[in-house]
Amino acid sequence: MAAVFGCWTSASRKAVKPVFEKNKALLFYPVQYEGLEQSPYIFYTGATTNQQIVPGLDYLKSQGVKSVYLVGSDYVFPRTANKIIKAYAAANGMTVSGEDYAPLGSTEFGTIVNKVKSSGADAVFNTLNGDSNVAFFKEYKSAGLTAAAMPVVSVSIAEEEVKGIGTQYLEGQLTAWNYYQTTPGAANSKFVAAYKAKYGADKPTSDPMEAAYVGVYLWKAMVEKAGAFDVEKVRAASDGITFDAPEGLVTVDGKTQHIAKTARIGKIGADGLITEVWNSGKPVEPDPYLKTYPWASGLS
Amino acid sequence: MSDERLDGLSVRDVRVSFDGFTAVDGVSLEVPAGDIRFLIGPNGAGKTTLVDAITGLVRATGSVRFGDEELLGRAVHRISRLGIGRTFQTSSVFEELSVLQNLDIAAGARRGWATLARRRRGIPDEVAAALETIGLAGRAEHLAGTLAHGQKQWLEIGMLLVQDARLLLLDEPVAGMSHEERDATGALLETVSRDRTVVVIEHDMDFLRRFARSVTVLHAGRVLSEGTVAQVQADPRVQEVYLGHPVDAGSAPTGREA
Amino acid sequence: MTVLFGQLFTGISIGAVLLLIALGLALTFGQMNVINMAHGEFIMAGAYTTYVLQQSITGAGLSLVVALPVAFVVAGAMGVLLEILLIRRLYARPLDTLLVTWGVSLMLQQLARDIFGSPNVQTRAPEILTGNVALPGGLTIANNRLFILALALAAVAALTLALRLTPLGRRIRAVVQNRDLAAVSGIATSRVDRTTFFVGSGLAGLAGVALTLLGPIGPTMGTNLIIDAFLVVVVGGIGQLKGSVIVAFALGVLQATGEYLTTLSVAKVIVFVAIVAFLQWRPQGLFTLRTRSLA
Repeated sequence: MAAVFGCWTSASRKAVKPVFEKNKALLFYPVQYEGLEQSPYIFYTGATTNQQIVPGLDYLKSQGVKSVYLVGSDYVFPRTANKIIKAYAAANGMTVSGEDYAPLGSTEFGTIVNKVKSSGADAVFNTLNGDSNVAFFKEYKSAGLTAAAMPVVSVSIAEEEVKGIGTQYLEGQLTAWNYYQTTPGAANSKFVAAYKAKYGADKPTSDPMEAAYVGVYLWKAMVEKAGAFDVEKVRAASDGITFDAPEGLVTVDGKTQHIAKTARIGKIGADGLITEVWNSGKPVEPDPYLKTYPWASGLS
Repeated sequence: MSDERLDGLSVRDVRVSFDGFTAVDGVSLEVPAGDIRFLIGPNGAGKTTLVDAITGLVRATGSVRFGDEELLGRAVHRISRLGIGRTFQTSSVFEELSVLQNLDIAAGARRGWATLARRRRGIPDEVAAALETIGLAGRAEHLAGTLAHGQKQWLEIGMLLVQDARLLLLDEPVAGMSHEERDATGALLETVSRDRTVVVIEHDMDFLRRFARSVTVLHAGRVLSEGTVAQVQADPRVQEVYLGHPVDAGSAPTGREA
Repeated sequence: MTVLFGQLFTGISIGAVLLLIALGLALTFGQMNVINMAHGEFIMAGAYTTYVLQQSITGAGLSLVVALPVAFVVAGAMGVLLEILLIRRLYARPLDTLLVTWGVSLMLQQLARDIFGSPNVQTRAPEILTGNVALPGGLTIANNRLFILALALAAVAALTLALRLTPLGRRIRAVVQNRDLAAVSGIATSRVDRTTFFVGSGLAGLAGVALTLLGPIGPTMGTNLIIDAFLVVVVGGIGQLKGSVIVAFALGVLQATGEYLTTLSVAKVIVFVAIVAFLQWRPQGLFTLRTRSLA
């Protein structure tokens, strides 16, 4: 097998990782994740923490947010992400007003929203997964909490999820990703047009889709540069490979096997699309272990 | 109150098997119209199963006719609506409903679904009459579960009356009753048999001697003996089945079937 | 103090959701002893009914009002179909019923995926149901929760009155209490079964409409609810509506309290431990119905 493209949750990736390593096979993993991982047989084409969560926090800080409430699903990604957020907050003069986890699949958020509301935090950092997001945002709005008074930054809600929750509940809330359907550029216009032609005009494109799409082109370029499908040769050829992706220019870092990508904070609009409100200006080098961030020294 | 027609029950070669065990093995019997027939026999003789077959609760082969109607093969509630009514060994009333509601259900079973949508008020005549006959007029609003044992049995008979049953199949109606209650039940049977056919499964020999008009003895799923009380009591086969050796059947056991 | 009252109401509203999803089961499982694993998919059908209606009726309030009776009939009809095609042949075979209806549940989920796609879909709630009522002391009570509470209580009241006062209700109770006796009393028990199944499944549809206000609308939404619903009915006691009502609210308040004092995951454990302990003590549930088999 030359290469596999797939996996969705961190749990699924962690489950197959030893198999890929044992068989020296290649996996291209397309989803943003919690970092702190670097397998020689996995290419990570989604964001690691310093390309998504850290920029999200930087953005909140720049908006004058002094306290955040952490809400996540009870599994590896939110737990790890929140550890990083707490370290960031401690170093940047932010308070963490509270931290709550819901069992995966949980759709009952009365208590958490009550606690969030009474905490008086400036913003909420949301690492909930799947269906829980739907229930959380419906409850959030019902409790009278608004994007203006207490914005929620989500890292797992892309355009597809917005459709499943309803803009009624999401309008004005923030997301942290590297790509939106609205991201400007010729590469993206072409990508979006081709996608809609194939799957229908009402089907939006989103960050994980784009990262998966990018993964295939990066592998193609690696194979062409290596002149072979051989896994070790492809790996050796990977450093410095670039691709003019829908999200902008991306570059493979051969050392970490992550890619440098531009961080983008977006705001959810009434039309269900996400519009960028801030970006990092240039691709952010991947740093899965946050070695370049002094405040993160105690984490790994 | 009941139909003027008086029909007899004709059972021909009825068989019931459960997983290879034959509970009723070719029973034939004729119960003439207006009879009070007692079915007796030791435990496992097939008495209750025979009644289950007649009322459609278990599958059977053969033929069961009441008047001109074949019963086998019909749904339970259809058989019931042909005028076949029964009681169960353990007293079976709807315990969480009142006496009146119990009778109402029995009386209302034939009503069309169109009338079900609205709540009926007042007590229908046949229900009032049945309440009098079974002596429970004063307890109409009580929950059936709070009745004394004997009263529950009478309520069951009352339910058969309002349901216009013309054949009453009673499974041990006086089990567990006091002496006075038995007398009252016997009198009730004589009253209702004036225009109905009655079949009683019973172990109580004293009760049988006083109220049976005819008797059928079942043993191991077959008819062992049939006749008047005196004829059956004198039958040596009956004595043998009950006690292992021929003696006076009057001291036959009063155990109950499971 | 405000938090305390807020949590109390949260508990009550969790209870109302539990009650609403368990009410239909209290009929089909509690009254008829049918273990219908596809009950959750009837809830899903109710939710998708709301979604489909909103494609043509654009007013969020009107479509919700229309969805309630339509979803009741849609889910009820699905229930009757299931009863006629499968469950009727499997009465008194609970294990087979469980497996077969579980298979049906998977098929219905796949059907939903084929028709509506696997991602969740959204419905628009009427603006009034996304707001809240502000009480003195900073306490707010969400309107959608109030709506669900009212709907659950109304459904309980309607069901109780129907069972108590109508001849049909009396027949349903008669069949539940003693099926053989009901049959020999001339009640067409199979027709009563079908009607009971229609109403029980229809109530699941109703719950589905209400849940569009609270949670996700997707192919697997029912699966997540079905276990809770069964627990409520089992703990409440088979065949007793009031048991389910009391238990739904008790579990809701217990969960909300546990969530507040510990974490959501621990609260879930507390609830399950409480249920196990309770069933050790009273295996028959909170209330029991005396029936012939238990006499």
